[in-house]
Amino acid sequence: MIPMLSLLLGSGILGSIAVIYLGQYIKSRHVALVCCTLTLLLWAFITQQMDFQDPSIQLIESYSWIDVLNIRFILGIDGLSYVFVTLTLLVNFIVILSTYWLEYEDMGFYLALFLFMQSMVAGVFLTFDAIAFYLFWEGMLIPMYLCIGMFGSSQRSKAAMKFFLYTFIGSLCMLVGLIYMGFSAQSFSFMAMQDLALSLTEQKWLFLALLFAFAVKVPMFPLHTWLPDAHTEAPQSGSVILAALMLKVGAYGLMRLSLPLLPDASHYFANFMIGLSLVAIIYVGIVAYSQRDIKRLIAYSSVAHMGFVTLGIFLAFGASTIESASFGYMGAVIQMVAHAFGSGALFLAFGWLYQRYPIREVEHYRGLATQIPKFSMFFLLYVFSTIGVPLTAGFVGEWMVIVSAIAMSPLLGGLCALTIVISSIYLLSMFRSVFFGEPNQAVSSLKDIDGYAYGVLLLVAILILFIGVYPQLIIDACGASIRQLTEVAMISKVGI
Amino acid sequence: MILPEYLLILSILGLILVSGWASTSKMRTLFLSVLFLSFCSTFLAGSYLNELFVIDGFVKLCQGLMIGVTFWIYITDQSDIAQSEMILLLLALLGASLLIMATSWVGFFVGLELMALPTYALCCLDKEAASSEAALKYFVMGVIASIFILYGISFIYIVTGSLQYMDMLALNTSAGLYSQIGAVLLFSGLFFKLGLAPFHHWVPDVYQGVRVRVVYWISIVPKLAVMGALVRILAMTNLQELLVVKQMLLIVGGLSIAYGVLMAIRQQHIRRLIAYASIMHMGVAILPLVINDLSSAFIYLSGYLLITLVAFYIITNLSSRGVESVDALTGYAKQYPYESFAFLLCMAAMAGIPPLVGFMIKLNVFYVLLSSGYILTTLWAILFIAISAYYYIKVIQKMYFHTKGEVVLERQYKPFVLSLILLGVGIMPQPFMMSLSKVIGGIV
Repeated sequence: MIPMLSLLLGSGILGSIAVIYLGQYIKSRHVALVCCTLTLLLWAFITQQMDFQDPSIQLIESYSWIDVLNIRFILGIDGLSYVFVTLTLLVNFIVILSTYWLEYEDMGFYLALFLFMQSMVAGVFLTFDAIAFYLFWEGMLIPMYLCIGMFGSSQRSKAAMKFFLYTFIGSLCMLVGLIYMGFSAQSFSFMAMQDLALSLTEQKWLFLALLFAFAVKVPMFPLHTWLPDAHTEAPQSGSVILAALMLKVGAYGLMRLSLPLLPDASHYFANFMIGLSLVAIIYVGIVAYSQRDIKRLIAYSSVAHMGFVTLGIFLAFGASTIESASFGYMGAVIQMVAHAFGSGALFLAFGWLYQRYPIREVEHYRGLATQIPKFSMFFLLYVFSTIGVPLTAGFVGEWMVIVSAIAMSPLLGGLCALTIVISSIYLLSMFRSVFFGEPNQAVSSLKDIDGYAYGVLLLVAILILFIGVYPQLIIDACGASIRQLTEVAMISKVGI
Repeated sequence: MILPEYLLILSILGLILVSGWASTSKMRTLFLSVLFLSFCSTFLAGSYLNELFVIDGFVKLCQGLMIGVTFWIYITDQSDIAQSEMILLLLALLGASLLIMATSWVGFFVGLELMALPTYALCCLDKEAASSEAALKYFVMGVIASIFILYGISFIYIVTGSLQYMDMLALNTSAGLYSQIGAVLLFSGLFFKLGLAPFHHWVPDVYQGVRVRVVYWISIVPKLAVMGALVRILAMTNLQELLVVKQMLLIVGGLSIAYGVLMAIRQQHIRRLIAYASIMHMGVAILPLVINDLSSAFIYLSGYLLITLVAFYIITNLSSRGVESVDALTGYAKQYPYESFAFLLCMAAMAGIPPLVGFMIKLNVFYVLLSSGYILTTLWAILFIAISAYYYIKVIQKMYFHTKGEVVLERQYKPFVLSLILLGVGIMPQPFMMSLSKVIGGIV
């Protein structure tokens, strides 16, 4: 049998080497694009072999790695991983497409970083061994650090350092937790850890250790402060990858590790997590309103919307039945996908604009809608999706989370629903001052998007509308495994 | 039986004799071939055990590594080697070999001093103020450390009435004051040689002031030898069962980690930074000794020395271009992309980012510490490792994030290829870890 998952991960790494070396002879963007397309084809092939009704882990590849410490290299895929890997590959494909309107001195290196990150992010979603998980988790760090630091704007050094230190400290805490579980279970595979009996005290400490890493990545209030800086200073593609993929990794960690492996502690901390998520949704939303920097505003809106995700996950513990628990859980997954396309698309579109008019402050823009109408149309659609207007991707996830919140307590549901109001206030007021009115001097020299950019933005728009209209596709893909994950999270592990 | 020691002694005498008429380049060739021959002969020596010395797999491994590293350092450096430098190096290598082979305190002390005295002299080969100051500091404090060791041995002799390592096994672990004083003095001296806080004061000055090539050697060979001796002592005696030794290892390890990291943060000189970082790494390396896990400690040390080997190769290159401070690295990635990438890998490996070798050795240490219940110690180490990322990252930042105008692209493939070893061992650590723990398991 062909080890297809390894091939998938290898394709990004080999691709990044190929881009650097072949980039000397042909345009490196073509090489990267070919590599991405090949990976997508491979992915289509893997899709055919998947059985989405089966909640168990499929296509398992297990290699002996470090026997001394019982570490194996395990790759596998289930519905949840499938959704996120698809997201990773699609987003990366769009990012590579969009680099055609960018120009950097060291283009080959830039593209290589993204191909490498694609493998690392996909690796996080595909691995079922704690140390391999950590390896991929940290593998993203240096490329992203270089991406922000080398290609970012003026304050890039500081932002990159902040990004690195936050993430690194968080992941080291996670490492301690993982090692502790690893030697207790005498194996680092998630399956063995799931069967491990742990006392409540142990679980609480482990939960906090893992949470530190995940909360930095999600990011959850109050560990979100690196994100606005990193987003603002990162180059266009870096922002897109950060918003669309890196933040998802944290929430995926909660779903894959915290809840199934530490169910009692997750239950214990559920209210705490719901509280933090609400703070993120409401407080960070208000903070977003006061931002004058467009990228910063989108970044804060990211934090607020990721609050929905953690909320949806931990609402599962307040639900009365498994069905309603997995409903909120599913809402969280869809919200993640929707946020990837919503926020990611905003960064992508703004990146196009920034390339032509390198100013990020709202007050320097005026009347873009009359000057560049096609662009404005797409931007408005992405804003709508981020707010959560029906028929766009953002609506489905938020609606599902709000429904499960109301089922738990109407007050909670009300507070959740408030966020749609808050996010429409800050996003639409930004949109109004940037796009409406008479074009000012600087803006009036801008030209509308060309056919190529139109195509890329249209592709994103179609994806957003498609998820908004027919989210069943995602539900079908990961329904079975989400149900199983929720069930596992409900079984107490104390004293098995 | 061809012992590398005989070869070393003969070649020292030979080199002294020949130096009267041979030219410098011929001496260089001769020196390198002697090193190469003794490197090969380490593998030919059989097993051997008497009252003073032992030759087993561990000895052969350490000797091979030490002689191999010396050979590597001097064959990659193209500049002239002074005749005195050659002889001093060979003498120190002889001492280091004896130190590892020793099974009695006499052999141990003779080896230690035979290694240490030429090392002090090596430090002041350049007659510059900085290097003389470093050498003097190193010498004075080194001699005091030797006195400590000697004094400690004498206490142990009072208790056991024997100079054999083996006879210590009869020592009652709840033993009285004398054995405790003896152990404390002995270990203080050894910690000095390893450059651990609070016995570290020579480390930064020596790393900064002394000639790069010699620092390259000092940062690897003596550490390996002393750690080898420490591993053998702990394997053949039951000193580590004394509570005071355990406490000492924990405190010195913890202190070195904290001190090394905190001091490294503000360093501007690359070698001084690496020196403080080395204090921290040695601190991590002795932590597994607390639970008597000799192989984890030695694996950590070897892994760290592997990173040092690559890092110092690049630092030697940098220094030959006059780059000594972190600020001077500004915009380096544009001019030397391959070398910068190699240095990036070294820094990331020291910070412990997977999948580099630095991560795997740390993982191993934390695994054994956590599984023995030393949770707070692990958290302490983790905390400072997290902080240590700051200064490694700072170096990368200087190289990659800043530009300094027009530069000529220079492709240096050698450091790049060398640094791939760090990646290779990191991805496939199994053979590396297995073979080392097997060899250490074979100590009598």
